[in-house]
Order: sequence, then C-alpha cells, then structure tokens
Amino acid sequence: MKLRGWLLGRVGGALATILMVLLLNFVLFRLMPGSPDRALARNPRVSAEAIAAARVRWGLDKPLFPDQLVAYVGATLSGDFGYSVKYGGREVTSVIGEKIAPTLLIVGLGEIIALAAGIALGAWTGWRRGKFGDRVGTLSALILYSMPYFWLGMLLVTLFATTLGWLPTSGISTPGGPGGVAGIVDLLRHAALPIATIALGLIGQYAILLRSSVAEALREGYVLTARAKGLRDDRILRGHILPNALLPTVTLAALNAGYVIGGALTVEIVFSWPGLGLLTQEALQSRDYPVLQGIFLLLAISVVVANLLADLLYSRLDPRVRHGAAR
Amino acid sequence: MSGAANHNDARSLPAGANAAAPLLEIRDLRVSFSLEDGRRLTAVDGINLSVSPGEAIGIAGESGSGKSTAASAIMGLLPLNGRIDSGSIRYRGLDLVAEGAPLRRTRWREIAVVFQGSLVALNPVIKVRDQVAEAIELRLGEPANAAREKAKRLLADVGIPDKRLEAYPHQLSGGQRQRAMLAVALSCSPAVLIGDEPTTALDVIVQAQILELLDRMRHEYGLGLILITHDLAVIADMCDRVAIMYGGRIVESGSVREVFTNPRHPYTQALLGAAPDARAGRRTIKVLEGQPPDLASLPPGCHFAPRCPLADARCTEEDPPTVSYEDRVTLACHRYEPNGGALPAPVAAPYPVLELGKR
Amino acid sequence: MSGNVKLSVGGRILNRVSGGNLLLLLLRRWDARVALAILTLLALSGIAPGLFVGPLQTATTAEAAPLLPPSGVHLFGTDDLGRDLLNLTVHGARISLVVGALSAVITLLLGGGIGMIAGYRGGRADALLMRIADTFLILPTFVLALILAPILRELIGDQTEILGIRTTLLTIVAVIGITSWSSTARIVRSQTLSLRERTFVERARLVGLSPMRIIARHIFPNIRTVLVANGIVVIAGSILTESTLSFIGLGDPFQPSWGTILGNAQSAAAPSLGAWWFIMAPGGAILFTVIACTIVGNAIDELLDRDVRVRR
Repeated sequence: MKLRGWLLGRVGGALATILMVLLLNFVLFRLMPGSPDRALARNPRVSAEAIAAARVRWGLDKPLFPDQLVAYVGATLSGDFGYSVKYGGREVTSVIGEKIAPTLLIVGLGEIIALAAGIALGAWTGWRRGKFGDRVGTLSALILYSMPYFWLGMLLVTLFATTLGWLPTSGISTPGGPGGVAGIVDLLRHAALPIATIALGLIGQYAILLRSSVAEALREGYVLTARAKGLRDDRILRGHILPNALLPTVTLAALNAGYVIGGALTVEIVFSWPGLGLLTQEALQSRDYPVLQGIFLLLAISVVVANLLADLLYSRLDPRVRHGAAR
Repeated sequence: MSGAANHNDARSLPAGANAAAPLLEIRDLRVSFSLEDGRRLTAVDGINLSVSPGEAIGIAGESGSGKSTAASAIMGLLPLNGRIDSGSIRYRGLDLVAEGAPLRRTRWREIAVVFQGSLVALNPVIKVRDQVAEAIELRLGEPANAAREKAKRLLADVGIPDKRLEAYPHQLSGGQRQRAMLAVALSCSPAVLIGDEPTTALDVIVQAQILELLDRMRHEYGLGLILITHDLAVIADMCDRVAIMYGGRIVESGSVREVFTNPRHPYTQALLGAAPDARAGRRTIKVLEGQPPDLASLPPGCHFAPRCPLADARCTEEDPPTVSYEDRVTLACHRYEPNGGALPAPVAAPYPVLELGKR
Repeated sequence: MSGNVKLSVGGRILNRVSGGNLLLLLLRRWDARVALAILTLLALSGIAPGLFVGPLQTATTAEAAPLLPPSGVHLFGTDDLGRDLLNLTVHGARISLVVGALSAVITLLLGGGIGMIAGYRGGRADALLMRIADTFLILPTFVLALILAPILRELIGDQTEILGIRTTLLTIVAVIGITSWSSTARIVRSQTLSLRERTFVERARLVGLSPMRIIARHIFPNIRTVLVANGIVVIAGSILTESTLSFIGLGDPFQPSWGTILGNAQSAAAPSLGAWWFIMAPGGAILFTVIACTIVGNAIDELLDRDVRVRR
C-alpha cells in the first residue's frame, strides 16, 4: 500500500536524523577541553578499575574516528550517557531522569490549555475576519506571540504573586508543607503561574494559525455550497470549516510538543521550578558538559519523534493523504 | 429518482405561495457591486426571466456578461460588496429579494444550484455521501440513518458506482464528482435547478451523460432548469428557450428554435457564427472584434455598440428598449423597430469572415 | 460564483516590486507606518546611543541609588546597581540591532543562496540540499544555540573583540545563522521552482545564458521582496533568541542587551521585590521591536498575495 511505503520512508528519515544528531553531539562535545572521564575521577566512591573500564568502554585511548565515535554511539544506545561533573559523578541518566516529571507537568498542561483556548480564539477571530472582534483578538495574539516567555513569567509573578499575593512566587512546593490532598493543592498553586505563562505564550501561535486557516477556508467553494444549502452559520463553522482548518493547527501542536520543552527552560528559571530548565542553567554555569549533552540529545530526539507523530497524525486525519488521490 | 416526491404535491409550500403560475419570475433585476476604488459596477442591468415547471431556459453569454451574478442573486449568495438594486425575484409568487424567512426556506428545498468546479465546491475532508445527506438531514429534518440511505440511493441514481458510494471527493473522477454535485443539488427535491456551467471542463461523453440525466429529471419530475453556459451547443440540445446576455443585459431571448435559426441581434449572430460548425459543413467563422465592456465605466447607449458592425449614432446615445414580439422573441436593438409587435425579419450583421483551413 | 475563483498555483506568482515602490506601498498602511517608525527609532538608538543618553553606564559610573522606581530624573528607574535603565535600554538597542542585522544577513545569504541553487538545479542537488536543510529545520533552534554557544565560547575565547563586538555576541549571531537558514532556503526554493517555469526564464535558457547568469538577472530580482519579508521575520526571531540566550547568561555582561538586563533583573529577584520597571523597560523594548517587525513582515506578505487571486 502506498501509505505504508511512505510511512516507512518517514520513519527511516527520522532514524537518519537521529543518527546525525548523535554525530553532531559527539563532534561538538569531543571538541571540549578535558576528557569525559574526568567526571568519574572526581567521584571518590568509584574505584580505579571502574574508571579504567570506562575509559576502555568509551575507547578513550583509541583515535577519535571511527573508534571513539562507534564507542560513543554504542554507549549511548545502551543507555550510558556518561557521568555528571557537577553532581559528583552520578550517572547523567539518573540526574536528568528525576527532573523530567516537573517539566512534563507544566509543559503538558500548558499545551493543552493553549490548544483549547487558541483554537477557540482563532475560530472566533477567523470567522469575524476584518471586523472589530478580529482586530482585537488578532492584536492580542500578536502581542503574546511577540514576547519572550520568560518576560511574561516575570510580569505574572510581579502582578499575581508580589503585588496581589494570590500565588507563591517560586518553587514547586512550600518547604515543610502539607502532604496528601492539601499537598496536591499546594503543588497546583505553585504550578499555576508557570502553566499560565506557557499557555499564554503558546496561545498566540495557535490562534494566529487557526485564524488564517479559517479565513482561507471561508474563501473556498464548499463554503458557498454550504450556504447555498441554507445551513446555519455555526453549522458551517463546526461541520465544514473546522475539519479543514484544524489540520494545520493539530500538526503544529504535535510539532510543538518537541519544541516547547526547550521554551519551558526559561520559564523554569523564572519560577525556580526544579525541572530540566533549571538543570540546564546549572549545567551551563558549572560547565557540566555530559549533562548538557544528555539534555540536548533528549530534546533533539523528542523533536524528531514529535515530527514523526505529527506526520502520522496528519496522514490519519486528512483523507486526501490517507487514501491517496484516485486521479 | 427514488425518495423524491412529485414536485407539485406532498410538499408543504410556504404560506401564500401560488401553485399554478410559473415557478420563478424575475422582473427588471438590477445587481451591482461596489469596487475597492469606490466605483459601482452594474453586473446585471434589468433582466426579465421566467421558468415554468419542466421548462429549460438557457442563459448564454461570454464571461463577464452577468450570467453567474444573476444566479448568485437568485440564491441570495451575492458577496458582501454586491447588492440587488432593484427589481423582483419571485418564487411561486413569494418575493425573494427581501432577506429573511422566504429566501432561507426556498434555498435548496425549492431552488438549488450546481456549480462549475465540483472539486472546489465539495468539502475535501467529508465523504461525498455525507455531503449529500447533510441537506436531507438538516433541511428536511430526516433522521441521520434515513438521510444516509437516501443519499446513497441518490448517488446510485446519478450513476455513481457502488464501490464509490463511501468515497471522498478526491477519489472520484471529474465526471463522477459533477454527478455527485448533482446529487447534492437534488437532495431536497427542488423545483428549480440552476446549473452554472455544469458541464464545462468535462469531456464530451461525460457531458452527454450529465445532460441526459438533467433531461430525465426534467421530464420525470417537472424540474425547472436554468442552464447558464457559454456553450451554445448545450443550449441547443437541452433548452426550450434561451436568453442571450451581454454586458449585464438580455439582448435577445426567445425559443431556442427561433433564436438559433433566425438570430436577429448582431451579438447573437456573432455568437452563433463564431463557432465552426463541422456538421453543417461550414468552414468559415465570423470574427467578433474587441473586448467585453468594462462594467464599471460604461459609455452611454447600447453596451454592444462599440463592437457592433450595425451601430450608428443613436446606438451610442440611447439605450435600446427591450421589445417583445408576439411573445415569441424579445430584442433590445435599435435596428429593429417595435413594428406594432409583429416579428421583423432578421438583419444580417456584416462581420468579417474568416475561412478555416486557408493558409 | 461571484466572480472570484481562487486559482491555487504551486508557488505564488509575483509581480516585481522595486525597493522604492515597496516602501511607498507600505507607507500607505497605518499599521506599517507605526511599525516602521518604531524600527527607525530602534535603528537610530542602535547606531548612536550616546547621542540620546550619553555613554553606557557601568557598575562603577552608576550614580543613583539602586532599584529606584521611575521618576522625572530616571524615566525608567534604576537597576540593582543603580544604573539608569533608560540609558541601559537605549544602549541595549545596539546589541539587538547588530545581532538582528547580522543574523538576517547570514541567514539570507546562506538560505537564499542555497534555496535558489536547489530550486533552480533540481534533481539530486536539490534533494540533497533539502535533506540537509530538513535536519537543521528539525533541530530546535534554541537548544542548538544553547549547546553551540558555550562550545564556541570555549574555542574562540571570551575576551577577543572583532569590529567592536565581543565574540560572545558573534557566537550568538553565528548560531542563529546556522539554525535559521533552512526555513529561508525552503521558501526561496519554492519561489524559484515556480519562477523557473515561467516564459522569460525559458527564453533565457534557450538563448543560452549560464545558470548563474539566469539566477542573478532573472530569478533573484523576483524573489527580492520575498527575501525582504523573510529577512524581517528572521530579525524578529533573532532578537527573541538572543534575548533568551542572554537571559540565561550566555550574553555579554559588559555590553548588556535587553535580555541580559532581564537576566540581571531575575538574579536580583526583581519580580519578588515588585521592581516592575526593571522588568518592563527592557521587556517592553523587545516586545515593541518584535511586533513592529512582524507587522511589517505581514504587510509585505499581504502586498505580494494580492497579485495572486484571479477574478473571473
């Protein structure tokens, strides 16, 4: 079936890209002064034999190409991302692993809220194209789209946390705070502003994209047919326009899944939210390259996977792609 | 066509409707558009038309003659910068020009349209069957299942093969799509069908099939047909009467036999003479020079005067009145006197003639 | 039905819009006028900041008390070291200007060049170039920048200056160029593809002009406007990227950009202290500049688009 061939092609492409990313990662970080085992050496609990074994595993005594590269790829694929410099020789995988959940929480919820609100705003303004409601809505989306996430975060903290005192200014929980249900409430109170920041930052994109998709769909012939049929406005919007206009937006949402984690980085810094973002900043400041390398790999792979999922999603949703044109 | 009721009964007509008169009557319709630079463009300049049950009217003319605008006006689908300046459109006596309930109710259920570009007119992400069923469900109020079944039967009736009944528009061939559009148009059993270039861009065989389908509808169900096209052969085949449009006006109208055999208006003669007629053995074509008029800045007088070989001073000063002769032909041309209403003989317009095949 | 058939052609077919012509057309729209005014202000501040506010204040030359709210003396207030924020913001414009302009130049040269070649040549060269472009397109700009920046910094060193710009900033420019060229290349390529099929290019080919000649004399003038529109978008994006990188700490503390100022604000806990002016001044500058760029970019896009719709 033609579709399967195309799919395999995309998967193959994705794998090729991941390999290129690995290559890039390898080249970039081997350019750094100091060798990868220096972190291990710092850890007093690691024996001399273990250090020597690691050196062999990474091929550090052999030439850079191809031996070290192969060793690096092999090691990475088997889950050995190296050891953190800053965290006293702990495995990078464990260091990164414990910081993923908080990031996923705010990114996930932020995305969902942004998608829902952005679609609503985009449909509303697209339908009223050219009229006052459209101008106001589009201007708001434009403003949100043009500001750096972290700035938005800082403003929100200043307004809601400092001035109004409704929400805490930073962190993920109140130190020594309550557990159980009250603990969850506390968590949500702390997460509210970071989530709001991410959501507001993303709404602009979705709203603007959906608006232009709706505006374009309104010019299409099938809308005229629908009107000729005597259908009501909201039926035309929901039943005819949105199924077409949502396609690019859904694809964008899937694509964003890969990128938003990067954007959340700065938001976490603003809120001292203990996720990947804060970790990245610390790693940067302490020159902890193995950790940086691991984060980069994680983000790059998530982007590639997100792209693949976006393609798959689009192919399922658009019947023209799903069935292929007969003529 | 299974599922379609006979048009003249078993249908609840809107209150105040008259069941005996012509279905659609258009009187002195004027439609204009406002342009970006502030000018007004008169696309339809006072036309009169009527369609009775089972009757097929052809509207012929070049692009820009106003034919499609007239159709849009009837359906109430003019764009935002267009408006009906004056005149009336009556369906079974009900005034459609005033927006509101009568117009909305007649859309699709009484008057339907088949557009030219079927790929564009159909929603690409919705199954064709569902697009046919949509009007049945939402305008006729039938439950979803029944509507779907009816839609499938309709599609089969217009000749869509079984295995394509669940298809999406892009999976159908051009001819199949046009037939599907026809099914969509007929889904609410309208009394009048407007076809705007319904067979243009289709190959001859498919064209013949669709026209034959329309003809069947006409004779079996008394469907009133308005065929808008620049293809005179189609009108000759299908229609009882024809109206020739130029520059927003109907310059000649009458029975197809009379108008095509004895064209009187110079423009009609040009149209008929401009097509090489292989069957009649004619190897010459008449050459009509010039361009259609710019409807936003019209000179006074007859719109056709600049291109007319019979034009004189009066033609460029006065608008020719539309005169009806013996109720058989109407003409808008200074060359033909009112003559007390008796039909005058045609005056041949001396167009330059081009012989085909000559090097 | 109403005389408006949308002809969807592969790429957009454009009329030639000359430079002066473009400017005049833009100035007709009120939103583009405001946007261009803002951008002109930015450019002036960037070129000669000293004219407006005097020399850049440093930690040592700062005279006022720290964290003062806006007043008649200090229009935007002061930062945590007592520096006048108006002074810092205007000087910060220079960084944004330089980074924006250089990034746009690199991106347009690289992306435009590769796009034109790929679009014109077609075939394997095209496929290969686009594969490479896709890889760069996929990699998250920001993350890549994050990784490249410290590495380049280590390699080149902190303290060297080229043309009065510290290498840290050049690093950021290089990184933005490397990560942004691919989307420009795609856009230029699709334009080139549709131009290639037009008669005047066919004619040039038949006459026997060399490909380079054809590209330079026939294709390039027609995509000029697309490049300008794209360039403006790149400028906006690069200002945002640069501010984010600086915020994290990869910027130059001695030539603070708006992002660096915001980073300082964060470190000084300005949000918690309620020092809103510290946050508003540099952030507002970023906001207005990016919005202005977006408006101009959109306006150009709309000017080009109008030529496509065919009226029946």
